Order: sequence, then C-alpha cells, then structure tokens
Amino acid sequence: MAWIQLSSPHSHNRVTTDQVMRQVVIATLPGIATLTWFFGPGILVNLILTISSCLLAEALVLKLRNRPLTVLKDNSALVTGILIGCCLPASTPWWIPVLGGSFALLVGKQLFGGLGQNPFNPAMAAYAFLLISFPVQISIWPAPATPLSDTSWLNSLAGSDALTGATALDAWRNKGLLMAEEFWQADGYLSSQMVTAWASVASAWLVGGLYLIWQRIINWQLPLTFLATLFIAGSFVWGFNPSHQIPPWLHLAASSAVFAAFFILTDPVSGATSLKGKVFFAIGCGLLVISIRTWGSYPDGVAFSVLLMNFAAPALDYYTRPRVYGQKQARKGLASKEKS
Amino acid sequence: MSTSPSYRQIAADGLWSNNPALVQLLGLCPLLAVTSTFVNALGLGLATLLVLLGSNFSVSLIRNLVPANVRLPAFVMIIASFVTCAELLMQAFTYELYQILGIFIPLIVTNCMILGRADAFASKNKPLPALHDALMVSLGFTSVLVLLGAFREILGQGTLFSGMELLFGPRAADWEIIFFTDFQVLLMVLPPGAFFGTGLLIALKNLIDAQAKKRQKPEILATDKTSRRVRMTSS
Repeated sequence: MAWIQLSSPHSHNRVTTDQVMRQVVIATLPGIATLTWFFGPGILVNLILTISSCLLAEALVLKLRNRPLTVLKDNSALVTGILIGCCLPASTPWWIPVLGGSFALLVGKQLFGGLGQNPFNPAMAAYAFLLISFPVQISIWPAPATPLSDTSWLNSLAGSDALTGATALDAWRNKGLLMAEEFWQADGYLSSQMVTAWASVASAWLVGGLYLIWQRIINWQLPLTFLATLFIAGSFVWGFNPSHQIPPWLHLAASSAVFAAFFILTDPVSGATSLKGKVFFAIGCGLLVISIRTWGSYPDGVAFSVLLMNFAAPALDYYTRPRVYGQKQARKGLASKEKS
Repeated sequence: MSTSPSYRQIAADGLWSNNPALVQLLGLCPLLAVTSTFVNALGLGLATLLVLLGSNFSVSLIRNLVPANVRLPAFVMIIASFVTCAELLMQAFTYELYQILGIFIPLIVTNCMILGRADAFASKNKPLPALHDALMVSLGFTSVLVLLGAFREILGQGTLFSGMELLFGPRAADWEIIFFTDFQVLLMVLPPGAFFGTGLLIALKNLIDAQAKKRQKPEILATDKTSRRVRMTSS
C-alpha cells in the first residue's frame, strides 16, 4: 500500500515558522518563571544548556549537509531546547541537558531530514532517551524550597547531592502499601508545599497554552480532548480502588500532562494532521498515559505515550482524511485506491 | 561450478563488500541481542565461526550426493549437529559464558547467514574454497559483533574487556580497562543501543565506500575516453 506523503501544514498564509515558534517561546515564559520560582535557577541553567546544545547540534548538521545556517533562524531548534529544558529536574549534572539537547537535534530531528521530516517529537525522544539512560539523575527533583532563597542548586551543578525530592507521581508510586488517607497524612512523601508547587506549574502551563489558543497557533480541541481523556479514564481507574490509585485531579496537577497537552501533542510535524486525526491522537495519548501510570513501571508516561502515538500518526491520517471540496465523500482508508 | 571465485574475491566479499552483518543484514538476532559486552560478542562470534567452518566444509563434501529438493533439510541437520558440538564444547570449557549467552547458542541454527552460505556457496563449490569462504564470512560477522560489543560496553558500562576470564581463563581477569566510573548510558546496554550502534556502523561503512568511490572517479573517466560518442554531422 502506498502511504500518502503528508507534510503539514498545508495552509497558505503569511504566518512563517519563525513567527509560530516565537509565539510558542512567549507561551512557555509563565511556565518557566513558575518552575524557577519554586525549584530555583537550576531550571534556567538547564535551559541555557539545552538551548545552546540544540543550536550547536543543528548548526553542526547543517554544516555537514551543506545547508545554509540561516535555517537556524526558524527558531524550531530554540523551541526544542526550551521544551527539553522544561522537562529536566533543576538539579541534574550539566551533561544531562547537553546530551539531551544534542540527541534531540541529531537523532530526533536531523537524522530524519530536519524540520518537517521527523516522525517523532524531538523533545520527547530526547527525554525518553535520558529517562531510560539515566533513570536516577533524571527523576530527582530538588524539594520546592522557599523561592530563590537557597543555593542548593549551585551544589547540584557540581554533582553533589542537594536537597532531593520527587515529583508527585514518583512519590505516589513509592508509597507502598499505604492507603491514600495515610499517604496524605504521612510526612516525607508528598508535602502540601510540593502539591502547591506542581499545581502552580501546571496552571502556568495552562496560561501559556490558552495564549497559544488565543493566538490561533494551536486549536483547542486537541488539548481539551487529551485532558478530558486523562480525567475520565483516570476517574474510571480510580473509582475501582480509590485507596491505591492516583486520584484524577493528581493526574492533571502533576503538570507534565498540562505541559504535554499544549506544547508537545500540538507539534504539527510528528502528530496527526486532520482535526479528527488530532482528536484520536489525543485520546490515544491519554489512554496510554493512564495505562503507564497505573500499570507501568515508570511513574509518568507522557513521553512514551507521545512517542507511541507518533508511530500511529500516519495511520490516523490515513483513516481520517477529510472530504475534499468537490468530492462526494472523503477518500480514506485502504479502499481509497479503488474509488479514485 | 563453472567459475569458482578467486580466494581474494571471496575474502573481499566476506569481510567487506558483502559483509553478512552490515550489507546482507543477516544474523541480526544474535547481533542485536548479545553484543552488550565485548566478551559476549566475541564468544558468540567464535561459536558462529566454528559452526560455519564445519557446516560449509561438510555441505561442500556432500554437495553432489544430496538431491536438490531435499537439500535444505539436509543442510539444517548438518548445521544443527555442529551447533550441538559448539554448545557442548562451550559447556565443557567456558561454562559461565555459555550460561550468559543462554538461548543464543542453540539459536545459531536459525542464523540465516549460515544456511545462506551453505546454500549459496558451499553447495556449489569445492571443500577448500568453501572453508575459505566460511572463514572470511564469519570473520566479517565476528568483527562487526566485536566492534558493536566494544562500543556498547564502553558507553553502557564504562569498561572494555570486562569478564574476559570467562573466555580466556583466570589470567585474563585483569585485562579489564575502566574508562568511566560514574557515567553509564544505560540505553546502550538495552536493545535500542544495539540498533543505534548497528545503524552507525552501517553508515560508517557506506561513508568509507562513498569516499573510496569518489577517489576512483577520475580514473573511470580517463578509461572511458575510448567509448565517447563523437559528433559526426559534417561527413
């Protein structure tokens, strides 16, 4: 069978890639600010490292491929760098962001032919690479301290152990046989401070996402479907065993879901193209995230879910082609060959 | 058996231009599964070498006695008996390595490369060229295994030649070289690392081939002079 070459977007208007990417950068600012407020300037150091390694890696490949360096001005490498930087814990050693940034651009994007050709979301590919390769370094977050007052992030850069905490989902996974009620009362698992921190970060991503919707960079259907799927499927699983399953609100407040909904799933290259395809893409991601968080061995599964659905995106596009103006019905699926 | 290829040609094919792992992409299952360390790769490579030598030689000896329509079962039986020999030898002399490699030793039977050489070469050539072909092809395969094993071991464990005593006895225990102690890319030990490594090796081989071709190009143009078309409109 012949897969249709779909490279998106097909729209013809004056919006260029670098304008879109600039809007995305603006939309990440509230999230970055909130992360920095709660977890210290380590986040900013990570961002500088990921962005510069992304730009350097892209420049290197462009040089090797004899392409003009002006391609860098489309800001897509910048956005990839920012997205990876926002996923990494504030207390990683310096080589983690550098490796992640270079992996995203070299293996995730340029190996497949550059912008528009990559089957996977480069930021998520890099995050999955780091998560599998360095599970310890990537899952230790500094405890959300009194904002900006402590300097533990400086020690952590030098590689020594600073104050450590876990993400909300990590803490939940490690609760063992504790019932939910005991978990919330026990010390040392998930302090209310941490919940506040993560929920604030999630709402900051939401603000950025709403800005993107307002600017018509992304549509509202995809994030809404994803978050709704998470909430509904999460509630369903939780309803069976409220003492041991993650409460549905925590699925959303753990911040990775909101971040992914607005900034990762909406990637126009590696996701589905048609609106119906996007909705199915979001539903698939949501169900996979819930499955991994409930039954998987990793506490959070957003990166893996997105990568798996990236695999499925061409098939989704194949079966959800919209009706073309002038045709009686949409040509989709395998039968499209005979009809034409 | 009109024209048997020269020994030189067989060597060049097996080691480089028709390398079973990098060009034919045969035997990928063991290639991807056991190359997590240098010693595992070398162990499996040597076992494959032994099996291929035996099978190619025997197949070549009986090549005129086996009817064409039952040749594949006959070849598989021969290969299976040599794999059993290799398995028993490994149990006798390198028992720990045999346990590490586990199912991949019996699985040498299913390595397409071995059946491929038996059918494509040994059944059409005399025993001596068949032996030579077996040696070259399996050396080509083993060198890829070993390169991949070294690459993955250095990045994934930060060491090289660790556990060589499993293959070479206790005197090899201190051959281990430690590169990093606090930097281990776990991904390289896991299956994705094998795919990345193989892809990089294939790319490297293609790069070298392309460079060699580029260097040859002027020569070809020079020899092509005689066959150049000449405009003859005036006559």
